[in-house]
Amino acid sequence: MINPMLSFMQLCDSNFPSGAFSHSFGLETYIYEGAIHDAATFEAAMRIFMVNQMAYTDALACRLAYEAIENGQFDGIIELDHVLLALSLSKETREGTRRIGERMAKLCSDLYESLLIDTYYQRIRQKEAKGHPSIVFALAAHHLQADKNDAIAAHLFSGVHSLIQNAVRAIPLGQTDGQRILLALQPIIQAIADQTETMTEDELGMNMPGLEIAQMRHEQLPVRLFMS
Amino acid sequence: MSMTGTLRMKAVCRGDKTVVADTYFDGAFKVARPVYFQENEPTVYSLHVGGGYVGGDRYHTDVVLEQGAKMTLTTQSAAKVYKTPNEPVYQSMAVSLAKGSVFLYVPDPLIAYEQARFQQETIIHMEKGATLLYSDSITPGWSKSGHPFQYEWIRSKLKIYEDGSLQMYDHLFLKPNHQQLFSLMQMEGYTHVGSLFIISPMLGQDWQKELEQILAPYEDHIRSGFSELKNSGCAIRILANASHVIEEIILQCANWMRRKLDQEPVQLRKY
Repeated sequence: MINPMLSFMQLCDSNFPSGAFSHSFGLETYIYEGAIHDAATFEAAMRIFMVNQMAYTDALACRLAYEAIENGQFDGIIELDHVLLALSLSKETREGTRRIGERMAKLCSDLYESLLIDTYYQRIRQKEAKGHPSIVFALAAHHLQADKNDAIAAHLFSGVHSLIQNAVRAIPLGQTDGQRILLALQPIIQAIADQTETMTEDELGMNMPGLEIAQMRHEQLPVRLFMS
Repeated sequence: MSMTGTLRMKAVCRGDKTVVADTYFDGAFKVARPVYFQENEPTVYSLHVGGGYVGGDRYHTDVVLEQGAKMTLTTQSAAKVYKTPNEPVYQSMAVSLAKGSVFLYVPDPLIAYEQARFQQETIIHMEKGATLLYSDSITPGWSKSGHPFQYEWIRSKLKIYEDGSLQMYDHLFLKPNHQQLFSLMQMEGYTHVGSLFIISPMLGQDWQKELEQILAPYEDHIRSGFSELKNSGCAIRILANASHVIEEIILQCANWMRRKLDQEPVQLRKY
């Protein structure tokens, strides 16, 4: 058996080719407009993004997917997949998430001998599922026999990590600033992972209107580094 | 669970004309007799006879449009949600739209006052070929302190299915204390939020350009965005500081859509 910690390091590495490095999920709109322009404004934005968006979408989705796998409810995973994609009102964000999800599913299906991951990837290819990174992460974590809480934290970490890498390029920030922010946000990652346990399914996918508008407006930005 | 207000209606085609059949209302909900601003197409005003929503209230509305039926549903005044000390207010709506039907839902804003908790859940099932225009706006009520956002929370869910498959799920949750509601990504300094969703075979290829022109004159007063839904429908979100701005935009969009459907502009005079 592989130590799940080592596998998480692989899955969360910025070289892991999920395609997440080409998406800002609306943050580039704020960078373009100047609302995010330095380390402090970026870190403040990340805190809001994590606590309100990632917590109720990525983290809760990862938990629900992990539990569906544990309970042998593959249909539950497919249903979750549909719900998650329908929750994205912005086309770019929806398409970006779907692409990352599909690419991760393919990669993980190549890397791991897991019937569930293979089945999910097949469903995506047959257009019966769309592909969502949180679902793939839960499938991989479960296959690696990783703890659910650790899986949620690692999944959050990987999302936060790639957004910081993108901000370092786009704002731009110094590499040290990026690393300092990644360290500063780690307690929030753990707090969200813990809080996810007490969330109800009813809370899945709550959106913030301002962020949605930023994601929509990204489609019309004249200059763009990122696909969303 | 007993309901505070129930409303059910079905719109059917009688030749060229849509008539509202099987209207049923109970409790705090009432509907006035349909108004025919246009010869063939009814506009229905629903009203709340109690004056406002209070804690523990539960409301449900059912709307069915049969094949080819056209109907506009609006309200006679804003829905006011007052303090809900024990139980939140729950409001649900189920809409079913058959092929070729046209349903415009243009309610007055929801006004949430100090310590209000409000949850609404709307589920729309439509067949391909139906037209839906769904709008919604949320306003903070006046408070003694003069600060906006004195309500406790508002949760609003809207699910749209087309031919049985989920196309859109809008889930807004506004909770002032906990979320620093004025901040970036949230309300961004604005107080009012408006939403508009249009799904129609008549929306056309150039809708994004046309919509840009409708929104352009408001750019200095609002923050808005629009995007294409999974099923090629249109989603619009608006942040503003006044209800009438959101109402005006929604009405303009409704008329923009009606022109595409060869319908006359909608008039929603309230009396």
